[in-house]
Order: sequence, then C-alpha cells, then structure tokens
Amino acid sequence: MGLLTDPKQRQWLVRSILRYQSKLSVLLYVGGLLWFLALAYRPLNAGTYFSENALLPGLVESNLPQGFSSLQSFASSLKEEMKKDKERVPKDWIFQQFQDLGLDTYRQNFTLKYPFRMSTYAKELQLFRGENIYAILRARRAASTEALVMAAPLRSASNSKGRTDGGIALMLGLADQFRRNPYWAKDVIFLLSEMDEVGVLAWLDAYHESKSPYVFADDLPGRSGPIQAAINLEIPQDKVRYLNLKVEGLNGQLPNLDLFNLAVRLGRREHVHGDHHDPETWEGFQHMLGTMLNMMWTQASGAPSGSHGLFHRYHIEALTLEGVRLSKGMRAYSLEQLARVVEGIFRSLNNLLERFHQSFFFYLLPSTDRYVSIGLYMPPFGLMAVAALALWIMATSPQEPEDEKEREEKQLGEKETEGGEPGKKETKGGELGEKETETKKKEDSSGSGDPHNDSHSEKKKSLADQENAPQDLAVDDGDSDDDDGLELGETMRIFLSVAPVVTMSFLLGLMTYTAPHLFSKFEPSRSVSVFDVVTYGMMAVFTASLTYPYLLYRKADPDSEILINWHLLKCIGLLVQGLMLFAISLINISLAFFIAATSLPVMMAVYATKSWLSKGLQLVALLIVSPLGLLVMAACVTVIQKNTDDSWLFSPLAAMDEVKNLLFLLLVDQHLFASWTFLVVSLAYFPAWLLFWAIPFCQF
Amino acid sequence: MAAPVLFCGTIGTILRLALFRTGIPDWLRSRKEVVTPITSWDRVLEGISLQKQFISPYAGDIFHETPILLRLLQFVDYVPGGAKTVFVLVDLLTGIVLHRICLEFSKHELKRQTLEVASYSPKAKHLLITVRQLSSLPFTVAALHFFGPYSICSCLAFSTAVFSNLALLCCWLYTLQGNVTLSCLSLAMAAYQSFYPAVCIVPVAIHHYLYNNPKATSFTSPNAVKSYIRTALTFTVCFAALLLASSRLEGGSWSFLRSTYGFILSVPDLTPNVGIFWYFFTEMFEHFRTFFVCVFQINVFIYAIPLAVKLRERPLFQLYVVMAIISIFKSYPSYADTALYLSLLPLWKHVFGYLRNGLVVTVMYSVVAVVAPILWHLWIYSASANANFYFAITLVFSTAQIFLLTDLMFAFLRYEYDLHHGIEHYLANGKKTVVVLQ
Repeated sequence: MGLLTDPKQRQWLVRSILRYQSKLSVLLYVGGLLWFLALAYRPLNAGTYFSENALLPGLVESNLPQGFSSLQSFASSLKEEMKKDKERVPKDWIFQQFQDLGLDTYRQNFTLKYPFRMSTYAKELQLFRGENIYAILRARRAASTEALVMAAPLRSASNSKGRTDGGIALMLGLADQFRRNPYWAKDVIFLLSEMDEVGVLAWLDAYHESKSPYVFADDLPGRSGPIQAAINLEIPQDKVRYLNLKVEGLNGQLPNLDLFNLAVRLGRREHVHGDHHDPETWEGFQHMLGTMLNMMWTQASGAPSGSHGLFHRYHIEALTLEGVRLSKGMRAYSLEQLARVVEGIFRSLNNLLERFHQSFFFYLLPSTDRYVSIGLYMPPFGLMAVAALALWIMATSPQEPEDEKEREEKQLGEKETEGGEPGKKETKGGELGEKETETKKKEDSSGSGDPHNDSHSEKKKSLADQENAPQDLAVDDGDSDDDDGLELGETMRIFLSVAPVVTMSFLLGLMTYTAPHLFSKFEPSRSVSVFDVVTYGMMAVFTASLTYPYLLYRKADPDSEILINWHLLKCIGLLVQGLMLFAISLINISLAFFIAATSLPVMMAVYATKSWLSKGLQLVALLIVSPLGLLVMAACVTVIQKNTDDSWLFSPLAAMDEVKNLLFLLLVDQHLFASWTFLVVSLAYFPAWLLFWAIPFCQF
Repeated sequence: MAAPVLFCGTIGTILRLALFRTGIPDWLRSRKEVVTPITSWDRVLEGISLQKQFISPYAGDIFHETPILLRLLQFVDYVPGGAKTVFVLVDLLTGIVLHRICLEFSKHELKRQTLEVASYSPKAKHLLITVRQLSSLPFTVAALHFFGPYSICSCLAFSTAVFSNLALLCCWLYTLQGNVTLSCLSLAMAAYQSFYPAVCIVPVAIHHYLYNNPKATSFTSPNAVKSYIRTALTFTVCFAALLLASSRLEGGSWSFLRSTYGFILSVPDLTPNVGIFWYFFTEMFEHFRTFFVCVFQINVFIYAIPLAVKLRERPLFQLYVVMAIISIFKSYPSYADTALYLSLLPLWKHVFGYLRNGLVVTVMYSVVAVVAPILWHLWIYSASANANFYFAITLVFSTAQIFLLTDLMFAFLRYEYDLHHGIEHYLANGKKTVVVLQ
C-alpha cells in the first residue's frame, strides 16, 4: 500500500515516468513486439507433449489390412460416380454405400436463408437448400453415451474449394473396417455435409436442438450421445503432398492442444511429416516465424478455417486434416497411409475417459512440435500494448484535471503539456527535466535532516489511530494532489467538455454496427449488386464519421471556455484502446496482436497541433490504421499471398475486390455463425479510433 | 427540482425504456454479476406462480424473497407495462430520494460547519465547503444514478435489490432530517429485505444522538446511551413488526426465515457472483464450513465497531462506509449494491482532492465490467478457461472496491486533519512538510 498512499513515493514514480515517458513507451512497444516475434525462436518456446495420458497414442497397432483393397474400390467407384455429373455430388450413391455397410444412415434437409437480399423479385432466391448425410456406427460396448464425429464436406468435382472425394472414400473404407472391430466404446458418426460450414452448422444445431436465425435445420431422425471430438477431412484422391492441420475455429477459438498433438504424433508414425528445417538456424527461425504468423493471420480473422470451427461452439474439440494437392513435389502420400493416420486418431480418441480438459486451449504454433502457451505470449503482448498505454496515462493523469493556465502559474517546474508529445518534445522535455532536478535538489538540501517535532507528531497521531504511524516528514515540492475542492468545478467542466466527443464516437460505432443491416434492406436494382450496396454504404458511413470533429466545433462559440482538453481525450482513448486490446487478447490473441502492432504507434504519437504539416501527417497515419485502412491492408496481404506463385505484380483492382470480399465475409460470418469480429471492430475499435481522430482537430 | 436534475431524470428514463426494447435486458438477467439468487426476477415469477397455486414458495429451494415483497410484486401484472414500468418507476423514485438526500445533506453539512468553524485552523479557510460547491451536488448525484451503468444494469435486469436500495436511501433521507421513527422504519425495511443493512443502525443511532445534541462532547454519557437505546429499540420494534406481519401473511408459518435470512447467512448457493464467498466455499472441506461461514459473516459486521469509535463525530460518513463494506463482503453481492454506494459517492466531493487512486480504481472497475462477461463465456460456453479465471476477475472487483473505500477514508481523514491544522504544515524550524500516512 505504500505506493498507493504515500504521496512521496508516488511523486517520485510519476516524475521519473514523466521524464522518460516517450522513450520508455517506444522501448516497451518495440521490446514487446520483438519479444513476441522472438517467441518463434526455438529456445523461447516449448516442445509439445501429451497431458492426457488416457489417449495412449500409437499404442495400438493398425488393424487395417495390407493393401486395403476395399478403400481402393470405394475410391475408384466414387471417382466414376463423380465423373458422371461434374456439378453434383453422388449423394444417393454415398447414402447407399453406408446403408449397405449396415450402418444407421440418415438424411437431414436444411435451408439457408441468405442474410442479404439478392434480388428484388424472387424472395426464394434468398433461400438455399442443402442436405446432410450421416451414418452412425453403434458401439458394441456402450449404449450410445458418447460419440466421435468423422466429417467431410460434400463437394462436387467442379467445386473451386478443392475436392474432398478422397476423404469420402476414406470414410467409407474406414467405416467398413471399423464395423468389424469389437473394441469401440464410443459411437462413430460419419457426417457428410453440403455447403461446408453451413451444413455442419445445421447438423450441429439439430443435434443439440438449438436454433440459428438464418439456417433452418430439420430435426435429426437418429442421434447418439454427447460428441467428444470431431475430425474433419478435406482430402483429395491423389497427389497429396503434405497434410495441413487446420485448428483455427470460430472467433479464434482453438481445440485442445492434445488433439493437435495426437494428429501430429500419429501422422509421424505413418511417416506423414511436416517439412523439416533446422530450427536453430536463421532460416529455421524464419520458417517457424512464418508458420506462427500464418496461423495468427488465419486466427485473427475470427472466421473458422474449416468446418471443424463450428464444433468448437458446442464445446467439441475438432480439427481439419487437409490434404494439399500439388502436381509436383515430394513423394505423394497414398490414401492408405492417410487412412492409417485417421484410424489411429479415432482409436486413441476411443480410449478417452473424459472430455479433453488437460493441456492448453490458448496457444500459438510455430511448428508442429513446438507451441507458445498463453503464459509465454501474454507478457510480451502486455508489455507492448498495455504497458505502453499505461505509461502515457500515468504520465498525464495526475495533472489532467487542472486548467492549463492555473497549472502554469502554480508549478512552473512541473509541466507535462510537452511531455505527451512524442514528436517534438525531446529538447523541451530535457530542459524541463533539468529544471526540475535543480529545484528538487534545492528543496532536498533545505529539508534534509530535520528532526521530528514532538508537538507535530502528536497532532498527527490524532489524525488516525494508525499503527505507530511513523509520520514521514518530507519536503513539500508542490504535490498537485493536495489541491482543495475549489477546482473541482473546473474538473467537471473539463470532463463535460470531453463527454460529447466520447458519446459521439460510441454512437457512430453503434451506427456502423447497425448500418449493414439497414443497407441490405434497400431494394437492390439490376445494375448494383447487394455486395456493392453494402460495401459502398459502409464506406459512406465511414467517411461521414470522419467529419464528426467539425460537427462538434462549429457549434461551439470560439470565445467560450469550453475547449476540449486533448490530454484527457487521449487518456480516455488510450484507456478504451487498452481495455479493448486486453479483452480481445483473452479471446483471440492474434487479432489483438495485429491491431496493437499496427495502431498503437500512431495512437501514442497523436497530439493536438497548430502546424498544418504535422496535422496532415497525423491524419494520414490515423487513416492508415483506421478500420477501413486495416481492412485494405488485410486485403493487400491476402492478394499478395494468393499471388506468390505467379508474380509479385500487385493489382489495385484485385485488392479492391478483396476488400469487398473480406467485408462481406465478415458480415456473413457475423450473421450465420455469430462471429464477433465485425462487432468488435465496429463497436470497440472504431469508437476508440474516432477518439484519436478528434485529437489533431483539437484547439488549445 | 432543478432543471439539470430534471433533465437527467428524463433522459435516464427514456434511456431505460429504450434499452428495454433491445436484447440487452434478457442478457443481463442471466449475468451473474447483476443478478443473484436472492434478487433474480425469474425466481420472483416462480414464487408468484407457486403462490397462485397455493403452494408455499418457501417449501422449495428457488424462492428467497420476503413474503411482503412477494405480495406487493403480485400486483405487477395489473400495472400497465408490467415489471418494466414498476422498475423504471422505482428507479425514478430512487432518483428523487437521492435528490432530496443531496439537499438535506448540503443543509446539514453547512449547519455543522458553521457550528464547528471556530475550531478550524484559520489557514484552512479555503477548505471549507461553500454553497457554490454544494450547488452542483444534486446534478452530479442524479447524473451518476440515471446514467450510471451499474444502476441501469440493475434496473434492466429487474434486480429486486433496487427495493432494498430504495429503503436504505429513505433511511438516509429521514436520518438526515432527524426523524427517528421513519428512519428506523425504512432501515428496518431495508434490513427486512436483505438483512445486512441492520448493521447501519450503529451510525444511524449515533447520528440521531448528535442531531439532537449538536454540542455533545461525550459519546458514552447516560444521555447518549439512552438515545442509542431508543433508536435501537425503535428499529427492533419495526423489524419485529415486519417479521410478525410476514408470519401472519404466511398463515403463522415461520418457514420463510430459513429461505430468506437462512439463505443469506448460511450461503448454500455457490453460483458464482462478484463476491468472495462462492469460490472459497466451493474449495472448502465440508466440516470446516460452519466455522468459515461464521468468520466470513462476522467480517461483514465487525467493522461497524472500529468505525463507530473512529468516526463517531461523522456518523454520516460512517454510514456510507458501512454501506460500502456490506456491498463488498455480503454473501450475494451484485452490481445493484455497487450502484447504491457509487451514486452517493459525490456527497464526499469536498475530499476528492485528497484521493490518490482514482485512476487505478476507475481502470479496475472498467476492466471488471468488460472482462467478467468474457471470462464467463470462456469458462462456461467455450470451456477453454476455468473457474479460476472468473474468480480472478471477481477478486479484482473486490480489490477495486476496497481500494476505493480505503482511499476515500484516507482522503476524508486527511481532509479533517487539514481542517484543524491548516493546509500547509511546518516543522518547528519553519520548514514546510508533507503529512504522510503509512
């Protein structure tokens, strides 16, 4: 409590922070950022291990027959069936196959109502119908109390997302093998869903008897017990060069690390490896950093990277095994090899005694066998985001309620007006610092060595019956906290002057949040698609929001004393920003990291100025880190990622399309899957950003 | 009523009515920070329907309201607009009571100051409370009440704690007016509702004694003791009358005692809330339970004694501190309790200059408000976090409240000290010094 009650210690702290504030902030930010990136370096992260012993990975030997002829025949006949009609999936054939294997096979119909109106006339166009097929292998040793899910999306041969026929054939082959074995303690559900995530969502909703507003699912004719884990297969038939393990789920949720470890370990047993780099070298580090950033990039979007992401919503651990099809490269893996991996995973999961609860749920993966846990990534993130913000606030807050003129009159030595301007205060701050030390020295010498005075300490004892209250007698060097109540009216006025800005920015955030819904109600005409209506509408809202500082100032009488205290405004802005980053980092560290890394330097540097040049520069910098700016940046990165194979040529048109695309994906995810990314950006990041946007406009 | 206060009241009411049209109230009604088993509206509805079926609501383990309130709330159906109207009206009424408290408080403090000003240091002139300073008090309190997120949350969630809050505020009002009977009656009603406010009788009794004997120097004289006993007796009689009336309403049965006060005191429901009980007693071995329940409950009451000694000349501040302590240490605290003492915080505006942890406390409060629902989601829905995460945040909340309280007490004592000794302190050799509390 000493720090909290003792004005002397606090003053010392505040003063030292004041003096080095900007340097310290930069140091903390850069240090935190580098530390965070350095976590991909092998000695700084940890090796994965199994927490859950019940999994017993790899203890059992594969039961699959050598050659696995049934799998081959399923695969070839499925190929035949798919060839018949490139646009459709042979659902009836697949249904028939599962039924012939003797499994409980069912169909489930569902309807997707597209959240945005596509056309003026036909309301039916908004509705899409789909069908799921699922088969339940009843465990012989249990009464359907627990279940595992093996899922694969039904994609036609012409689907742009890549084929999954290998996965379907693999499911049929494994179903054929699984039903012969007596050791199953959990039901295995084979789920084939249309429309990828939507189908899975419909099936899960029906399974758990919940409802979503845009996906209407029929009831399930047959069911099993609570689902413990799910593996989603996106595997083409041939030329699988490597397996991609996709873990990122809805809102950045991740499956238990043990499930991931399991897939990695069993893949390795079948010699299905990730690629090898020597992690101790610079190239190795670069590779691991690339992997980690790639994972974070996917996680940050908050959209599920595969159908597995929706299982997380129901507390089911799930991941996707994606076979990556390349025409050339290393030796391709055969379906049989992959079948052994999946078999191993399911037999391990079969051993599971309780739900996954050990190991980690919050982690980052720099490679398949290394992980960065929440305990490792939080300190650098905190250093970077929260500490840097806190510094600025601490440096300004004790003096903030006072009017500047009064302050100048009162304490010439203690000034913080310049302290907050990281741009140009280097020299001034130094001078003031020297002045400060000088005055302090004088006072120190005059006050040192004073003995306690009896009469004084007696009086002070009457102050409180504190335990032996050793009253420290120190030199009064202008403790600003000791001001009387007279200035409180002043304080309140300053707070009230900031209130409209804060209220406005949050109302604008609310408007942005509700805008897409309103825009989608406009009648789309033939020439303008709903995509364009929403995208340009959102841009219009954004541009309109930018003018709000003018709205606030024009009304104010130039002579009236209600000038907005930009220090206070910045304090509030940084508080909101820090709070938001901390809250997001608990759910989705990647999103928080990318927002912090890009926006914080600009936000810490913003200050009110009269110079047009610096004002212009600040506004440009702020625009770059605005929600729209970040969206454009994300679109550029996505376009560049897509283009890596062809060329480094960068087309602005492609980027523009990507912006539309990303914005729309955000909105659709928000409506269909209740993704939070749009909500966070519009209701938290945008208002916080608007607070900073007002600062360069402040007059002082 | 002054225009700004009226403005706050109107906007606040419109805001509440507007928010009732969104999905927020439903969400709030499931938030463990806002609603406790005692104040949950869903349980009240359950109790009302049981009552209509002629089944005693106290036979089960769901309903924990008091019998009189149950009878009163049965009439909610007949009010146009239902519960929404009732709760908005109660909030409005609370606002009016708060407004009158501010006026009475200003009058009372000025009167006390004129009496005592002779004993103050001449150098502390500018520390004195001025009329101008007090003039903004009603507005500040009204703004805090009508726009305070905590009071809005409790109103939207239909937390029945607002009734006991209203009773306690009435007690403030009548205490300030020096009306022994009414203040004891309203305190008895507050205590009848949530039991803990009973401890407020200590500061109330001291205040009534001081009110009638402004020049009193001794607090233990026979005269004083007589006054305390009179107040305490009035309170006891009111409380007993309320209990008897309840028993009559229940047809002579006393079973409601077990479901209400028994439930409050023995803490059988360990649903997480913002308090300190649930986690501790989840971890507790069963045979230590009784002992620790006693320790935890005594914790709520025990502070009244040292406070009564230390702050005997300032019973109103003592009442405030006791109220805040109750909301920190009670067995089922919620945001409604926080709302109660936060809306009265501006009464001590004149000592705010001495507050040191304003920023820390504000940040802690906002972190809890934002992060608690997130950690709850991670724990209960995503199952990726666990109970410790949520407990950590409730600990932060308790710490924030304690920080605020200790800081306020420190500021208050420091202010009083400076009043008597002047703002600038000198050593014997004429050097300036600073007083430090360690």
